[in-house]
Amino acid sequence: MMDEFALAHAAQKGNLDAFNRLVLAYQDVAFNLALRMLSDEHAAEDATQLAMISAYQNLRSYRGGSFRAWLLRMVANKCYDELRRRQRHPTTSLEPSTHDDDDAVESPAWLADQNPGPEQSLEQIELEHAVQHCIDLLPDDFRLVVIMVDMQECDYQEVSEITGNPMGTVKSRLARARMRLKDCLRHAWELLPEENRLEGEVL
Amino acid sequence: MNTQPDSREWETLSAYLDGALSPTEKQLLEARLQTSPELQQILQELRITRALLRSVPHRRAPRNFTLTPQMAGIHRQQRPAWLVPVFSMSSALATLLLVITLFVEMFAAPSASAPMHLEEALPDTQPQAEMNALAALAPTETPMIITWGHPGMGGGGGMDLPYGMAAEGKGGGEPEPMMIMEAPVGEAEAKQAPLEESAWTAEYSAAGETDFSMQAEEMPSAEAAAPMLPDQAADALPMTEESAPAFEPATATQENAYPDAEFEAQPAEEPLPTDQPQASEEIARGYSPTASPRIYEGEELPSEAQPPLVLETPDTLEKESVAGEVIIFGLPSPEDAGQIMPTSPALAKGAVEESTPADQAAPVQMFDWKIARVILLFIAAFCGGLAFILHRKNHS
Repeated sequence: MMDEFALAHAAQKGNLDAFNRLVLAYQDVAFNLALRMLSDEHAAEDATQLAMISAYQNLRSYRGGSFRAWLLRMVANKCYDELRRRQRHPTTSLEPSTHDDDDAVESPAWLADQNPGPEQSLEQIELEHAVQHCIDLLPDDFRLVVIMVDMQECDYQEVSEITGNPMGTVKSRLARARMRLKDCLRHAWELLPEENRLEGEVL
Repeated sequence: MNTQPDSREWETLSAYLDGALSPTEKQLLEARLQTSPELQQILQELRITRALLRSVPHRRAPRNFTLTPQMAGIHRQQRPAWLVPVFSMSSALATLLLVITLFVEMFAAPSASAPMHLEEALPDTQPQAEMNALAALAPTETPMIITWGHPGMGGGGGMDLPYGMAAEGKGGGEPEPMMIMEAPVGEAEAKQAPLEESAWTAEYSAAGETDFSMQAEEMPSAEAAAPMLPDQAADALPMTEESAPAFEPATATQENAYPDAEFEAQPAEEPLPTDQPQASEEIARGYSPTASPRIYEGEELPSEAQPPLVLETPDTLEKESVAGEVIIFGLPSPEDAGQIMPTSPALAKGAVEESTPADQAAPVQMFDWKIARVILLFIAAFCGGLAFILHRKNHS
């Protein structure tokens, strides 16, 4: 197990290698958070990279605790920056509009943009698309919480640290987000893998 | 259906799903779930929804987001930014200094040119004072006179005059030269005793007028030379041609004192011809073209103009023989001498040319110069303000 505190401490003293080891450990989580928040791979890359730079520059503000949460907070801030920039400069997305899902899935551009790995089945691609589509409909604050809890499997405390919100706010936003997603994703239930569906029904 | 549970129940169900309820809360909810199939339905849907979200495959980062030293260096390179404000402010600071300089010059220069403070202003605004003197002379006489004064003062004085003439031919003072002359007198007397003596001799020998003596004394001082002419002219006017020879002895004595004195003495002679300003101008012009080449002739000419009284020096004796005829030439000779003094004929010529039109053009040019300074000052202030604003924007 990596001693993230020791690495962070070394990084605080200017050890770039130590910092990069932390980056390698958490870059997947960071990238996925940015990808779900921004729903755009390139924007997610930029946000992740900027977050890493920002993290290195603000290493002194890390005072122990979960480095992952501290790092994800940087990523979340960069995502908010990008979302705000989009609001100021709205652009037409290359991705299909959220209303014609069927056409979108068959769109070559859409498939290419998703860049599915070889291990991903068509169902998984459809599921990912459906979830992303419903997540995009959420307010930014709700989306951040539900991504971290249900997709990144963070606990409430960690989410509270990352977002800087009290626990009650996290719970409330998570519940509201889930309730909205429940209705949005109802048509995608059949995409749920068999074992997962069984697990849900059992409980 | 879904609207039945309120937001608090949603939160409870959501937390129950994550196992985040306290034991008591959990018991209460489970009790309600037993009796409420709707709550069970919602809970089931939430569970599936969460399973859907969790089943979304995680992406691997498309590339490593590790930092290169350059990327990390961004942090360190920003440190020197502390110095940047200082340097960026330097432009505004320079502009501010320029504004101050122009401001001081704009309001200090005119007062310096005033005749009253000539003594103080001399070091700074010598050219202007000289110009004023020149301008005053312009109508009556040509620049030759200007040159005389300088030899008395020394090489430096001689150099200054032509420069002043070239730089600012605009000095508009008409009557001022008179006043200017007087101011330096006191110092001139103390410094240059021999010259003074000659002046006094000239004074006595001539009409004994105090004005003339003043002029003679002033001559040694660089600026004084020019203004003298008008005074002399004024004095000379009443006097007949007879007075002319009377002046000459004074010049002769000066020669004895200094070899250079010849030039200085010449002004004394000038008053004679200056009776008719126009005529003198014509002569001056006539000689000016030829004057430049014959530098040595110029020196001789003044000597020729010397009166017969100068018996002491053998050289002068020779010249005296010619002098009798040359009295008329006495006018041009000083011109030549004057041009010789600066050693660069071009300057002397320029002075001659300027002096004649200077009288009219002077006031107008002065005005333009002031406007130009004001405009320059505003431009400088604008640039300074711009630099300051840009600086603040960059660092805001």
